[in-house]
Amino acid sequence: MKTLSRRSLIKQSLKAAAAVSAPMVLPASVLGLGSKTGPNSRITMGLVGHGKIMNGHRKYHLGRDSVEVLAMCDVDSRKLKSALEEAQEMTGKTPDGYEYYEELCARSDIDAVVVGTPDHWHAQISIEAMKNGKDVYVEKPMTLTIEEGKVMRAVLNRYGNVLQVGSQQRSNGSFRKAAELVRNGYIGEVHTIGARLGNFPPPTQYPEEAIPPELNYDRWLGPAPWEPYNFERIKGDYGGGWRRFWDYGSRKNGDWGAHHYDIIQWALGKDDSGPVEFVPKGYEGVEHQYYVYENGTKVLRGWSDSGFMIHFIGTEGEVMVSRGDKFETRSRSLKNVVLKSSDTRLYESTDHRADWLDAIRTRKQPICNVNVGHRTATICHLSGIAERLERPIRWDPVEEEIVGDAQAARWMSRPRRAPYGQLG
Amino acid sequence: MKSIFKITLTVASMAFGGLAIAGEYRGELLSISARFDDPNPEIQYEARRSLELLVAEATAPEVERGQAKVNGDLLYCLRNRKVSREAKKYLLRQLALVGSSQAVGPLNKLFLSDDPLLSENARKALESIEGSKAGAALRRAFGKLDESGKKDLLRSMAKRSDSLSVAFVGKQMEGDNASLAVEAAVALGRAGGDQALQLLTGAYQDGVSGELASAVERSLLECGNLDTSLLQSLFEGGSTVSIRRAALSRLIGRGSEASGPSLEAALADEDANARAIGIRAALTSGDAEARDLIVERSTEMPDEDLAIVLSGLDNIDPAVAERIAIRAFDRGNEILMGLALEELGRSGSALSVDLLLSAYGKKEKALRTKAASSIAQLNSDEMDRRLVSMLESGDADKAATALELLAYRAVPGAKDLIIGLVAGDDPDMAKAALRTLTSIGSESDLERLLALSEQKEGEPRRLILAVIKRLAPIVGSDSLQARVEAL
Repeated sequence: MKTLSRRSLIKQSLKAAAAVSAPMVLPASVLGLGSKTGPNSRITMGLVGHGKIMNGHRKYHLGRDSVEVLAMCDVDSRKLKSALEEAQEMTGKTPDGYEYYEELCARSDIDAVVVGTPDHWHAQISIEAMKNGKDVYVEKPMTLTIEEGKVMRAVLNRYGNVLQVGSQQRSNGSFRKAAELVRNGYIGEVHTIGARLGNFPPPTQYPEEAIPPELNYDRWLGPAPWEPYNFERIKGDYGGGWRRFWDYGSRKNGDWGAHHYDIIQWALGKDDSGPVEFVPKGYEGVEHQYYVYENGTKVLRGWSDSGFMIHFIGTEGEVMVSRGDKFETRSRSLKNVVLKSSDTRLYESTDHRADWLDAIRTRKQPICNVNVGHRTATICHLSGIAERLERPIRWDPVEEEIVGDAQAARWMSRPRRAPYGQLG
Repeated sequence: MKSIFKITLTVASMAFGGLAIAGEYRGELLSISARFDDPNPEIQYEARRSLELLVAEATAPEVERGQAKVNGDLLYCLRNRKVSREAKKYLLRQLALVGSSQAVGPLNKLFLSDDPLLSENARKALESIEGSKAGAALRRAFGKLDESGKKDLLRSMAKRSDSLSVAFVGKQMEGDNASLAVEAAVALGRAGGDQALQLLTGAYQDGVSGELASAVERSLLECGNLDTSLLQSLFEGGSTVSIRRAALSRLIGRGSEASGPSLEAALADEDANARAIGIRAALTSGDAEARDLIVERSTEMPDEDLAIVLSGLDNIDPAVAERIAIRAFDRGNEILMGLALEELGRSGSALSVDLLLSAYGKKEKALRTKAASSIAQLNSDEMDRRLVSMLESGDADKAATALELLAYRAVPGAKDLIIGLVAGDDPDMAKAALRTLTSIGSESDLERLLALSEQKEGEPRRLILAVIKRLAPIVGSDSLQARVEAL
């Protein structure tokens, strides 16, 4: 059997750890991250899609001795050039640059791939990487459609890859603490949850512009429907850009929902399940888009009297949490609760990327694995479908099917443009 | 031809909706379609949204024969010369969502037209329409397409995955065109099911080579019920590492008679990757024998393999997992020690108490952190008793350690002891106790500290009040905060 270099890392890092008593700084870095390892023991990596979200990933991985970035890929040669130059500056080496991710994924010397493209490319590239034996870090939301999530889950189960989804709030102590309090009943029965997602401007039909010669626009569109080029359509912009278009994502439900709905799933212990009904804003006067779990727990988008990103309300208390380690409880004493040994402890990760690297070495699925990513993305997509159809959607989380609405059910997948028609 | 189209539409309307309802959406659809030609992008977008909503409303579950009605009217607009190409593109996208067999004829015509944009969108609409009519239309079109179009069509057939489509794709896999054959093999994997499996197995056994072999192997793994001997063959001779890994993982995971020899082969492999796959697959499989084999071998495994074992003990009996973790800890490798400590937090018992407390006393920060976390989680009353005993021992070091750990672990009755130490005469112990309360104090603890502060003077009182003032805004009620502010 052909040797994959990733596994040799364990051997190397174990030897290194045994021989050198260098302290390990990060608790999550169980296998020697942060400590020096030999070049042969590095995880070799390819980075695909060099827009805004990749900036952090690129710097992180280029800055680690235990990782070697061998290849980068982007359909815009300007972005690719800039990324390659950054690698040269940081490491003194220039990775190989690619326009086509298939070529990067086909390299046998690459262990792992980070997918930081817009959402409509996530599944396709991840699947190609997994089928080539790579481990994958894919940005959130994991998919563009529910069908894509099912396929990704099946592929991972067949090929045994390690996949982390970039819903990194799970690797933050405040979100974990909030989820643990909720999960262990410290606020009683949870009946209402608010999640603040914000809003994008509506998508619009921009006038056609000349396609820059450096951009392979057809490739950027990939499986999404063809539309005339306009910079605003492809722009990476957390306040809009491609994120505002349904063709490339699920708008705010996908963008921030992939973070907050994810924490809610975690807190409620629903990672293998999901809600049963999705009701859009405006339907019969509904003020806030919401979804409901089988036990009646209701999650309202945009609702909160506290200003926190996520606000859990139970029969005996409330927990509120936001980024920046903002964490509050009602009553206040809940803040200092020490969990009992009999309480459920949630997976602890303090560094989302390090958790993935550790998982690559131990072959254990990381904190935000494919199933977690698929279930959370499903909520994002169903919320979006209900919003677009302007009617409630009922969902069977066991069979993973839309119930009683044949037309809505067809929205679980989307037609894919030739020649990208086949998923995987 | 035009009149035939018209007749088709009329017949369809009669059949599915009746003349009385034909054209219910026609006017609105035409009006929306016209807006796609407006130079104002906002109006173009609004037209997209209006079209989407109109079709959504028309096909809501409560609308009787809505799908038939809106199909007829979408087709009417598609054949209308006044409707622009751009508008037709969006009308076709709606038919991909709501199209029915009545749309097959007109869609097929557009599919075979010279307009690539409309042809592509018509094909996507056809591929999603259920029933034999759409499938037959796609198959008939195959011969009229160029190679690129044929590949697209194979993908559409894979998506349909009905019996006739799968058989048709299978024929292309056997054809002379190598590129089409590879595409067909990939399409069969995507279609899945017994029929596709049979076709792929046949191709595999016929000894296909090159790119087609790799595509066939991959696609076989996409299908569900692979024969054990076939999996064995893929494990031993698969054309890529990922194929061999996938085959091995499934062999072991299925718990068949083959899993034993395969697991043995994997564990004996000089390639650490193969061993890792074997270990991981065995530990997560439902095959108790496979899990037992890993447990048995774990004592002799090299450290790198034992690390894989330690990360995958979730399905192992906790007592067994605890023994493995304790033995792994004793190897003295810091990485294994860290993984072992994590495991002991999950599966440990009273047997692990000494080890965890001793690990907490080590100088390596990572080990101390993991030990504290596992001490907090350990599901054993013995740990509670031990911490209380340390607190009451009179030994300053032991008591200080216990106080640190009580910030992680909730021990019944411990707060009484902690506050007792605050009330005691040992200033160092009182300070350490107050430090612990800063992390775990509640409003009721603050009330007790307030009462205690009134009995104290000087530095002890100052320290107590400092903790109260620090904690009150965090955990205190409004009334308690008001009282603290008034101090």
